[in-house]
Parts: sequence; structure tokens; C-alpha cells
Amino acid sequence: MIFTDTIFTASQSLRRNPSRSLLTILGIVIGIAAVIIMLSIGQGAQRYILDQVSSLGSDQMFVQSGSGDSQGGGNPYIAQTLTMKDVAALETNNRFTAVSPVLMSNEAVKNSDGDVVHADVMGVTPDNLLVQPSEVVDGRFVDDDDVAGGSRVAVLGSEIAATLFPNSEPVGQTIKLRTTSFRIIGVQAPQGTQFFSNLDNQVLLPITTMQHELLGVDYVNYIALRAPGDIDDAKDEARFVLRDSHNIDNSNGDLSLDDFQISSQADAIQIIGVVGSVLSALLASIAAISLIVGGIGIMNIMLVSVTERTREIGLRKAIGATYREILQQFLVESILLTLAGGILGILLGVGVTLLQGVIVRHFIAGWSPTVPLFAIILSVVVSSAVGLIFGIYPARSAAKLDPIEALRYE
Amino acid sequence: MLLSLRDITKNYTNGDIVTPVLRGISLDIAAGEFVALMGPSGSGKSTLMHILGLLDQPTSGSYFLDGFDANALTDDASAKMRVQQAGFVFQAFHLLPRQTALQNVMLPLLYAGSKVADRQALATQALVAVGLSDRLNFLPNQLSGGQKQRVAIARALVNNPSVIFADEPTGNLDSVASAQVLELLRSLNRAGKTIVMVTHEADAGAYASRIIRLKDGLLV
Repeated sequence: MIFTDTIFTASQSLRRNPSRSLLTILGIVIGIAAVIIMLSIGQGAQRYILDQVSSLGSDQMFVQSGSGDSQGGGNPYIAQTLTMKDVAALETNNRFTAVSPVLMSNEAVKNSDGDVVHADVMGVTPDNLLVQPSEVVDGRFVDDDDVAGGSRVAVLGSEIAATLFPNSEPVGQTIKLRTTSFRIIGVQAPQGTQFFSNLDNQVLLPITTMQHELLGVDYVNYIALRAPGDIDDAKDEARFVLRDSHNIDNSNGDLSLDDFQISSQADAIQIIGVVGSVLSALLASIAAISLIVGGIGIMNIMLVSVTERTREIGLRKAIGATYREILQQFLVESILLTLAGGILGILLGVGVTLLQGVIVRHFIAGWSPTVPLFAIILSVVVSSAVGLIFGIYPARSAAKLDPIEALRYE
Repeated sequence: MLLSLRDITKNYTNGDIVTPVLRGISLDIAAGEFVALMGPSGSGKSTLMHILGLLDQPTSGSYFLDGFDANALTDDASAKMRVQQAGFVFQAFHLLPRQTALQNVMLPLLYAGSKVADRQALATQALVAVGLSDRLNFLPNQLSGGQKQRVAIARALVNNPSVIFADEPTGNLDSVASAQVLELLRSLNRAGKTIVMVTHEADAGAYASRIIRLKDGLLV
């Protein structure tokens, strides 16, 4: 039997019962669509975060509290060990072209009319502009005198400025955080979102003011540094400065002895890569389960089909079909089924991915999930493989039928 | 001899119970014969035809078809042999219900590996030979019983086999249709085809050139 005959015969049998064929492959359609959607969103999210990290610049690094071999300095249970003294120590080393300490909090911001907006409040220094470039469209940014003198001044993001002062000029007016009033000295140009936080809804204060007047602390959450040249070299230099400043005797460079950790963009990209691949593996295994379930559905229907067509199989064998020819016919049938399911699943998955891209872009600028080509190739291969694997048992049971008994089957 | 059987036995085994169906049959059929295998039900005539048609293997004994030792054939080899040497006509027609007469007749050509371009012409020729040139694109359920059986005969003819095996070909037909089908088989035989027909109807047997009677697994 010529292979095109096998394909034709198989597709003829499937078209005989289109609604059943369609229902049979539904599991595969959903499974493949799920794979496509998850891989697309996963990749989209990963690339979005990588874009954000890359936008920071490859010469940037971050100093956070916590010992050098632990991950995640944002942990609130880690003692905050970084202070303005460390900032001063780093500033004296001219290796670092920018030293930008940041203190973060979320506060209720009140205007003179008593309207309240919740916003991210960041304590910064003028160096903030060197690591997070932004434009002040109205007024000015926090300057060295503000930091040195602990001035009660604030710079507003464009959105919060418009919300709190819809009809008047914000600069010169006051806002209240907790019990302290701050004079507005500037409004920033719109910046959009970064790391899922809205930069246009933030309030910037001189970091010293925020430490002493607002939170009553003397630490900073992190220090962003810029250093030209070799980034690993610069990291070592920063460690050296901070160990001195913290009186840590660590001549061997054992990171677990430090009470701070330094990460660069390159580290972040590596971590994101690892997280991304673990996540992809997890999603793929979930999707694999749905494909197994779909495959069992295919096997079930193929077995029913073999039983229904016992006499047809008997006749084909009587007139000279070999074991292999019958096996091929039923295998091709189940592969055609799952392949059709795979193709419908790809279409569904691509459709849903594009749709959610359009929707999510309204909330997160720069979000553009795309369907990776390897996901499509993988789907085609996997769906065919499901058809092959789950088709073998029914096809073998068809091919093994004895022609005489099969012809007598009622 | 085209078909040559020596001391063929066939036992069916069901658990510990062994039922002998054929108990030592020796038989020769020459090319060009029209043989009727006759006997009451349970006499073993269908089993004998299945062995002759390579659909079944004997328990013991030797069988040569056109010089080939049938016992030496694997399942796949006997399938290949059936494509070339045997055409089958069954009591229940066994036409594929959703395929036209023409497609049904083309079916053996698929397994014979005939050229796609030739198939339609060969199948049409076979349907013309059984007098159904005006029913090529009819589905089985649009045909009468006699017409269905003639489509089945066309299907048996299409590969130009050396023997046609007919198992109770008139069993599901009325007497008029039966006479037409048997007439057709006789004319094919006169044109040179070897035919082996199983029947228990004496009327049908009368069309054959030789009658072989079986009883309890033995020739009588």
C-alpha cells in the first residue's frame, strides 16, 4: 500500500464522524493551547523583566543588607545594616561615578484639601538622577543642600501631582505624610512603570528627611552604584569599602561573613534566566499531564473505532492487507487526529496570547508576549508523538485481528 | 494442480477441549474448475475453504497453492499471496458502507500496490464485467442484494486472481438474484477463472462443474 493511500484512507475514516473526531481531539486542543499560552506568557514576562533590568545599564550594581550568600535583600527580617555612613564611604572612592541610596515606604499622601492618595515614597539623593534618569518638568529635583539640611521638600510623580492638584500649580504647595508637611519643589515628567511599579505615582523626599522626619530610622534600603570598567572588579572594590565601614574582618573574601550583598545586572539576568527555566519546566510538566489525559481520550476512541470497524478490518485483511498495513492505517488515523488537535491548539493558543497581550498592555506598558517558534514546533512534534504513543495499542489490536473471526463479528 | 491438499486436519482448541473439524482431507483442484464444496452445517466446508484461501492454517497436512507451500508462509506472506492469488466473495457481501461501488472494487488494488492512475480503469472494467456499468457511484445501501453481491464479485476479480473463493454467495439472496449471481460465476468460470464455492443449496451446486461433499470433517 502506498503511503498516500494510507493517509487518504485514514482521513476518510475520520471525516466519516466529524463531530466525534472533533470532540476526541478537544483534550489535545486544550493541552496544546495551554502549552502555547504558558510558554508565550512566561517568555513575555521574562523578556519584560530582562528589558527592565537591561534598561538599568550594565555598569550598575546594588548593595543590600543581608549576608553575601543569601538571596533576596528585600527580606524585612534581615537587619538593615546600610547607613548614610556607608554612602559617604563609597562617595569618597572615585571609582564609583554614582552612589544613590534609597529608602522606600508606602504612605498615605494628603493634600491641603484632605484628599488622600497612597503612594510609594522614596528617600533619595541627587545621585538618583544618575541611576534612574528622569526629567523634572516643573521646579527642581532634590539637591545636596536638601539632603545635608534635611529639608522638608518633596518631588512628585506626574500622576500623583495631577491627582492631588488637579486645578492648581503643585510647586509651592504642601502635602502631608503622617504628621509632617512637605513643600513641593518639583514635578517629574511621566515615566511609566518599572518592575511593575508605577513611577508616576511616587513621592521623592531627601533621604535624610525621610529617615529622621518620617520613619525615624537611620538605615537605607539599598544603595545603587555605577562604576565604569570591569563590574566584578568594581563589586570587589565596593565590598572592600563596606567591610572597612562595617568593621568586618574578612581578608579571605568569604561572602557569608559580610552583612551586605552586592548584585549586578548580570547577576539579576542570570537569576531571571534560572527562574524562567524552572518556571517553564513547571508549566511544561503541567501541560504534559493535560496531554497525557488527551492522549488517553484518543486511545479510548481509537479502541472504540477498532471495535466498530472489526468487520472492515477483517475484510481488509482477507483481501490482502498485512499486519503492517492495518497498523499503519490506525496509527496514521490517531496521528492525524492529534496533529489536527495540535494545529487547532496552536491557533487557539496564539489567538489567546495575542488577545491577552492587547488587554495586559493597557495595564503594563511594554508588555508584548510573542509566541516562540520553538513552542509551535514543540506542539506539532508533541501532538504527533501523543498520537503515535497512544495510537499504538489500538492499532496493534486492530492489526492482530484474525480475519475469519473479524468477518464473523456482529 | 492449482490447489493441492494432502491429509489436512484442523482442530479447534478451547481450553482443554479439542474439537476436530477436518479429519484428513486430500484434494486436488485443477485450474479452470468450478468446484462446489457441499455439506450440512458443521461438516467443515467453510473451514476447508478458509484453508484453501489462506485465511486459516491447517493443524497438520500439506497444502500447495500454485506450487507454493502454504504452511511455509508467514501471516504477512499469506496476506501478500491472497492479494495476488485469491478473490473472496462472502455471504454477507462485506462492502464498506460509506464507499461507492467503484471505491469498494478499488480496495484490493490499494493493497496490491497498483498504480493510482490505473485503479479507476481496472475497477470500472471489473464492474462492467459483472454488468454494473451504470452503478459505479452508488453506495451499497442504494443497491439491491444481488447488485451488492455482484459488486463483491467485481472486487474479487479486480486483481485478476487465480482462484475465486465464494462462501455461500447466494445465502442472503432471493432466488432470482441467486440465479443471476450463479450465472455470473459460471460465465466467469467459462472465461477461465477457477472458482471454489461453499454452499449447502443443491440448486447452487448444480452450477458447478464438480461437487465435493463433506460430512463430519471427511470427504464423502
